[in-house]
Amino acid sequence: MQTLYGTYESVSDLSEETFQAYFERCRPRMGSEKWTEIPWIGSLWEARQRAAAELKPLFIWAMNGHPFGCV
Amino acid sequence: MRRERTYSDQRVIDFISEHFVPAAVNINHLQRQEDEEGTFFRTISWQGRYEYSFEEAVAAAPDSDHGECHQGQYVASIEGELFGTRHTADPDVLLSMMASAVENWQSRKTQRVKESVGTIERDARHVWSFPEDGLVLEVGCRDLSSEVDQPAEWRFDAHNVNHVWMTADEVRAFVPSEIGVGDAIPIPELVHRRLVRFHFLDIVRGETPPWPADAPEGVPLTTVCTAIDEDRVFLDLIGDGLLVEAGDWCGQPPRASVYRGREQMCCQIGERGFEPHVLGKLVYNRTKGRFERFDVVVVGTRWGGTTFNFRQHDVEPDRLGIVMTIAGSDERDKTPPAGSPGRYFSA
Repeated sequence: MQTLYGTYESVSDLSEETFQAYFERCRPRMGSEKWTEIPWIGSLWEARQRAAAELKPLFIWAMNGHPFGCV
Repeated sequence: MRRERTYSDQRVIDFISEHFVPAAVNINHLQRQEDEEGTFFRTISWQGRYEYSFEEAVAAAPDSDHGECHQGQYVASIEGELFGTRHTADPDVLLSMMASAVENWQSRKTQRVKESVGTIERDARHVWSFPEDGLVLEVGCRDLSSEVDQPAEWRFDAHNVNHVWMTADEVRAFVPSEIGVGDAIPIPELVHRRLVRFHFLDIVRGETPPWPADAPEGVPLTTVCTAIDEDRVFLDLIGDGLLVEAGDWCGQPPRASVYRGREQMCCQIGERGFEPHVLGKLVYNRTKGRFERFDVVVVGTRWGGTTFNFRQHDVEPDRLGIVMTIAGSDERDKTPPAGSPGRYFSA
């Protein structure tokens, strides 16, 4: 296959035999990551409500794309 | 990735957990929302980005007509008074900012006592409706090559996540009432278009725009019934195809891009492509009207890139893997897919 950045051989090894290995290698693993130990709130307004009730300042992690998802 | 580098530092975890109410937010929509939440965020971010005073920011915040990017970290009161801000992935820099912000909080002008904040009506253009009776998949994406470009810091082990949302009607449309082993059935059209355009994407190092509207035609997706028992229908999801788009993504990053003006972004990427091969293992419970299993693997060769996915030095063809599986029930699992709700559901 010719691309703007070189050629490659078009082959697929995805099969019944390789399915599980690919699945394990690429599966999402967010739940086990250390940053999830922070008690993040995914909505600014809900966090504002909590901060008001607890008399604490807000820490806002603002990203293009949701930090819990695709960033 | 910032998730791993910055917020996996134990000092950062402890400091944020002790001193703040931490919010993680997507500003693609938030900074443009014409509602109280958008105004509140802009009150904070405009103090940080433009060094407005609190009073100036309060006056300017209703204006949502701007293209600037407000990514970063902010510490603020519930009235929007800013105590500190940075846009950094360095844990030490972040810790320094947070310590300073805690000092500033002590002499704050607002939020002196506990208060109650009510609910809001959000700007309908940016509201995602969680598909309670539908299907939510978690998506993982990573490079499959044994070697990737240098410097081999975060890029070496980069991976990303996303979510697929399907409505209850879309889920039920997968399996016709009359079906037999060996039958081949195209998947629902909108789901097909959504999967290909919004999820067969190279997001390993960052979000990237969806494929063009005609792209799904190049990747037909079919389910084949492999078995049936009393309640359940077992399906394989299969497909192959080619996705190619010409572009000029790095020639001139958009005005709102945080990368604008950085030399390394001027790489003139002129094409992106992906040749996906798809195999999925699906189990549909006809009595419950739900999928019990929806495991999908997409592997293939990708090349090129876009302005946003950090491929400027890694455009040669190489292997990419994408996995989808039914999401859990944590708050994080309710995170909307990347994109805007109108475009996403109309695909």
